[in-house]
Amino acid sequence: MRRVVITGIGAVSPQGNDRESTWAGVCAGRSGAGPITQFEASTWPVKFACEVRDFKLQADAYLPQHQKYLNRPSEFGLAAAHEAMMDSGLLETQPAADGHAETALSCDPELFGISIGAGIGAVSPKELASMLRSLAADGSYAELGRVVQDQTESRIFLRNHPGTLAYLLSARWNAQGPVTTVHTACASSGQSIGQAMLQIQRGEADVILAGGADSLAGELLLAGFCLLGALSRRNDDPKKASRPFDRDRDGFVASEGAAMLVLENRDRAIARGAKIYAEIAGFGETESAFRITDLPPDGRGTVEAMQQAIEMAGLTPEDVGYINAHGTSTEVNDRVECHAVQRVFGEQRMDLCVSSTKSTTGHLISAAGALELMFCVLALRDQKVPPTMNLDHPIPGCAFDFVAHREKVFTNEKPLRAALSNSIGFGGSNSAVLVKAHGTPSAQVTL
Amino acid sequence: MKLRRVAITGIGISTAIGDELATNISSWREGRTHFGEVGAASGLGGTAVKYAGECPEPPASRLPDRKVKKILTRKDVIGLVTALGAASDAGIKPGARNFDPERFGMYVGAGSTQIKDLTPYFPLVRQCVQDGVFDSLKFGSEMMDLVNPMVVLQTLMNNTLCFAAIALDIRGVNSNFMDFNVSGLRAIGEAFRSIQTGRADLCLAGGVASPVEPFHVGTGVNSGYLARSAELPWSAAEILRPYDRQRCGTVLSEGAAFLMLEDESHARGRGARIWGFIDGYGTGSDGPVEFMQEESAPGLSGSVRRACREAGINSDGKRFAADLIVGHGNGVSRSDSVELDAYALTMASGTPLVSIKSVTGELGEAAGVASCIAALDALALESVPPTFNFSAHDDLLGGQRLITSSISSQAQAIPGARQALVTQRSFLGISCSLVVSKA
Repeated sequence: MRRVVITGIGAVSPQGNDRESTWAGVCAGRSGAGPITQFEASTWPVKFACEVRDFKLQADAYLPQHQKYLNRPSEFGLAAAHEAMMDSGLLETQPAADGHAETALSCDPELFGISIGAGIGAVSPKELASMLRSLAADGSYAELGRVVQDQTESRIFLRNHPGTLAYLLSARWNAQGPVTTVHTACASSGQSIGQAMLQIQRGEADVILAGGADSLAGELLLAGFCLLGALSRRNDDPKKASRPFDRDRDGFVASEGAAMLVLENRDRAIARGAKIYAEIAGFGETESAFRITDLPPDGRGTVEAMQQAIEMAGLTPEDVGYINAHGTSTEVNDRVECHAVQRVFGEQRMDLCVSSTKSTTGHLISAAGALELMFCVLALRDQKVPPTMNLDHPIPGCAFDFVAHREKVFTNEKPLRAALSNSIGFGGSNSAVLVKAHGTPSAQVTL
Repeated sequence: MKLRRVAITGIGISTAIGDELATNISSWREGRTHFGEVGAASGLGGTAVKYAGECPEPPASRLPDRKVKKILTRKDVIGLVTALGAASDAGIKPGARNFDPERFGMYVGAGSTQIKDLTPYFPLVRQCVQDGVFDSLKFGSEMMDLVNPMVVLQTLMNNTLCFAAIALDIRGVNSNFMDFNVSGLRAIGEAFRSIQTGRADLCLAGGVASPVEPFHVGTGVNSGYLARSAELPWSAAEILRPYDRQRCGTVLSEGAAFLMLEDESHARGRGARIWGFIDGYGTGSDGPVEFMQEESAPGLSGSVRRACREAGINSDGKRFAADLIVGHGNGVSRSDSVELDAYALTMASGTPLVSIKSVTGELGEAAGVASCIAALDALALESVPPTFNFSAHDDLLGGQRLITSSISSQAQAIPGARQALVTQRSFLGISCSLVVSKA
């Protein structure tokens, strides 16, 4: 079985529009929450979100003819992918026939793939406005199809389809191998990365650009989650709203952004002298549908996903020093996830760091797993883990280090060698992705 | 690692033809389409599309709990009923104790959220749009009173997976693919991989689509993907013409198709009926190709080679000798052309090729799975079903391109046939290929 490493990373988030500013922001505990700016929300039950700010997509992140297919989450995804690809060192500058230099991918296109966890679309009322004129007063839409048909360039369907981002990326980077889009709600990008890892292990690809992109800060989706009662209503203090594992948590904070990772066959990466961030060594996925938004109270599904990832990596629970929890700041999720971690790692593991970066980033839904795996990788690189902010009164009975309020730095005597990212989705899909320091033997870790 | 052999032990299908497997198969063989007229009720009033395939309303009695019909969209009700049908056909029922729930997985290729699924918002949204400007303040102050609070749950695109998992106690590997029309075949392929490599003992896999709605149809007509059936002189049955010189676009159809895949030894251990086997799987993408402007289909060629190679299909080093191909063939001009090109590059000359889409319509995410079912039937009967409405290739194909596949509007005998290639493309250049073999 081939081993898989990470050789490039890019991100766009409420903390910043690249990898390092995002990482610096979460380590500093800087909340991305603030009043909603994309539309007037002063009458909404929830008036705040974690928004990406000051973002501008570089022209060379996509093919110019694809401008018509872009929407807000796909722009984030293209930008994060561009940063990851540039970071990977996979692009070679070659002389072209006309004497100018051009860049080419140093990878067989048929062995280069894309694997994306994508959101449920971002159709906005503004976008619909030109078509809504055809709606009758009761909201019926007898001739809406004709309105779409008669537009000069009817792109609304493709622009808002979850699968379009993977296509835009495959076209931009000439990926002719496996191209995949996964949507399993909050587990989407954890599963898309796991899928990519399996494909490289099996030899179906040498390199896969994998990650996720989403935006929950638009009107209709935000309205949907408002109606569901899943969002925090701490309107008077948005930066304190996302408080995973805290007694006073009251829901998650809507967010947006993207994270992309370049996964590569380890032997190939070593042969080309690539910078290797970490090895992606374990993946677990389970289904624990119970009720559509609730987890089984015993943590079933979450437990087995973590166990599978640890087993695949050839490690034991004692080898894992950090868990980036799903930790949404909702009542049930946080309680059940704590119980699940206890079941896997034991009840007394004060040396185990468990933090939720959603306390600062908010919940990126389909992109959450990718962004949080990036944090695990950078934690291994910098030997520090980001904090859980706003955790004043931890859930009782959990003897972990929740890394409350302040980042934790590891020492040379006891380094961080392996980290796990949990994702738990509406609909019951769970994923756990384990990364370990590159160079760690596959079947044992010495702490 | 020793790879396990993967058997097909259950089949479920729902199309405009109905939800009986035998009825669907006989319709494919006899050319009985079930396209109906569509119009204002589907939001398609005034469009250039007159015909589409729409499923009969699934009976509530087929649902595990009648209340779920209030939560699920029509697409997911069809998907759920069909998935449960495949499980039932395989003898898999909740609490039956003939499987380990943690070794039972599910992969779904799901159609996207549709505009009709957002109708709970529409009355208020319409009130809030004046002169093309959206009044978010009015929307925010009134939505809690006027919009159904379940709308976001209804529109989750993994609902078929979720509700089938609840009904059948599925706890293992899973995913929900959103790769347009290849999603269902992708789901079968990934389920195959999971069983083959020991990650699961059995998986329910397939696709579901409900594309007869304004966004799909409006975009499809605008781009030239759909036949402008309201303007054509033909009957509903004559419009979709795979590989034919008079092809003029596809016809959308609603439907779902699911298979139960199972480790062969697991299946035999519980005495399951085996419909056939999966021998190979491959995927590929065309890379930088524009929507509806493709000149070739390298992704399809690559996926065919990978699937055939894995399946051990004989080859002269360049071209594989499968017994038949159940192709993508959806009657879209460029798509059919580049598909035939890909077979000329990868498949032995004279390989029988059929598309069942002239009868089923373009089933979207369920299409590749329906083709798998047709392939199993063709292998069992040693007879390739007809490609209805095919009469001759066009000049472009006949003049500049090499056509090597054997297409016929009559059934073709394939005595001794063992393995069939099944292909599916998406209109954004992603392809999947699968090789199935007879039981």
